[in-house]
Amino acid sequence: MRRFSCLLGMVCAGLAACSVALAEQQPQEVLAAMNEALASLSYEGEFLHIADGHIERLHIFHRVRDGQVLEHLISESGTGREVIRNGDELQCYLPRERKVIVETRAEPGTLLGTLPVFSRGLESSYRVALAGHERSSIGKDAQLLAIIPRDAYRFGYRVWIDSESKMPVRTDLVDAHGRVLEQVMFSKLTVGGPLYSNLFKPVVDATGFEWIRQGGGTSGQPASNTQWQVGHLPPGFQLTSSGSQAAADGRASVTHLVLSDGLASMSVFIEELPSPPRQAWSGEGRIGAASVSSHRVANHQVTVVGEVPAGAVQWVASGVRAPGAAVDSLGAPTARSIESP
Amino acid sequence: MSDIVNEQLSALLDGELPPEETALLFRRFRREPELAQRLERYRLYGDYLRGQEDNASRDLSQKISALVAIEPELPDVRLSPADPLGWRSALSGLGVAASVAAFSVWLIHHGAMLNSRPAVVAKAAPIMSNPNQVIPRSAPLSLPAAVVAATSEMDMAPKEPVSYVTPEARGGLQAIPEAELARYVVAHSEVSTPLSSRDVLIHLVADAPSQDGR
Repeated sequence: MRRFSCLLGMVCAGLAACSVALAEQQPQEVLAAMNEALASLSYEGEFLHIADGHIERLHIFHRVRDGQVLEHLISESGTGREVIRNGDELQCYLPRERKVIVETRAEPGTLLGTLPVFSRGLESSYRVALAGHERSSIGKDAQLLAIIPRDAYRFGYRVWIDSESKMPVRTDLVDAHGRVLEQVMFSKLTVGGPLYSNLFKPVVDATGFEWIRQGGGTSGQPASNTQWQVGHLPPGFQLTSSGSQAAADGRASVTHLVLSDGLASMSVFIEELPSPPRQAWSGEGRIGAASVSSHRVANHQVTVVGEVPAGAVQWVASGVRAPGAAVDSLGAPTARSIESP
Repeated sequence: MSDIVNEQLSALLDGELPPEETALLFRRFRREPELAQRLERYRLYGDYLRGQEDNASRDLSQKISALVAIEPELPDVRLSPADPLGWRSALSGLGVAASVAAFSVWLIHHGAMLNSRPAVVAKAAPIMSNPNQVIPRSAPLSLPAAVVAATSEMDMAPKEPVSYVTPEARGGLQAIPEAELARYVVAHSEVSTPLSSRDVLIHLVADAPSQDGR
């Protein structure tokens, strides 16, 4: 009997210890572990992308070796587009347009440098919560993480994080009302594996394609000499970097301002129109989580891109002012005033 | 499989593994045939993606096969290098599986719609005639009870009036050339967080914007 009591006591103590450990796990820590897994693990996976009434199957190969990232994203059907990342260079193959866009990261290094850091400022924009465990789309235990926007200026996520690898195996993009806008759902995920170099070469024959090289200019710190001004900032967003990007295709350089709330970000691209000027583009839209708004300001094309609702990029775009122009002092719009048409 | 072995396999396929390590790895193939099978599967996969097979790759394959002389455990993926159609057939099989998965997803969502109240958005949900047109943008989906519970506890309501409407996708991008749009999105993805960046690039690859009016 004494032995039984002793055993029971040990079991209870063990359970209590486990409970304390679980209770101490913070959602921010889970998110940080996921971000680190995304940036540091080698993996290969098949997944479904569900958005706008369409389902498509894609493959991703991701290899990290000596801190350098190789990645190949390819669709099994559809556009024939491919994205290949090799270190600090990202290549996007557009077969239909017969173009390859090459973007160079401004600051060499690994993706770890871009991880979001949860701060008090971020917590004023989002609520982050753990929502238990579930069997995931790859048949393994996953932890559910909910990143919920506190207002309509940003999107949120529901993320199923594989308990073992910490990889996000399912991601739902949600709006402020919790409605699901887009899903990425892995059906197969292999962490590790001999991901050899051939897997990171394009399938498409890019012979004769036009190569457009850009990027490489934004600084990590806010620049004080940027004369263009962004007069409208949604709550929680601030200018985090700015600079000029070289455009190797003969165009003038592009000013690139980056706004961030710590999780979501917006890019403001300001590009001088060529001489003689072409017709400026104008319009709004969305690609996945990214909303786009573009219009002409003082003989420049101003384009705002961000993984935020369309109303937010439109609001920012409407407040971009050329050097010397007056900046209105409007506060951030109410949710009603940024309601899309 | 350890990271070290993965690195060795990767280097072997790339022709970058030193001879002494190659010999050790080949010895290990004898003991662990599944390792050799996995190597072969990745090699064939790469060849399939590239639609070709170079001599060095085939030589390596033959060398390994002769050395370990194993029966394939995965007939759907470990096919003869000279049988690319067979490999494609294997992928077709995967396609069927994916279709089943897709249909399951569709069924879940469709069921969620049937069980929910009518959508309040002005735009009517499209009639779904096939699994490739499944989810109206604002249709509520069935969510795990734990998530629903968590979100309901956290006062999801925005502080401003609930009048915000998520914009329709790609509604007005009729004047921006597609390549230019891709250029901006690619540049932006480089300053996004890993999760956001991945999602943006996935959508760019998966679904090119429509050509209407462009």
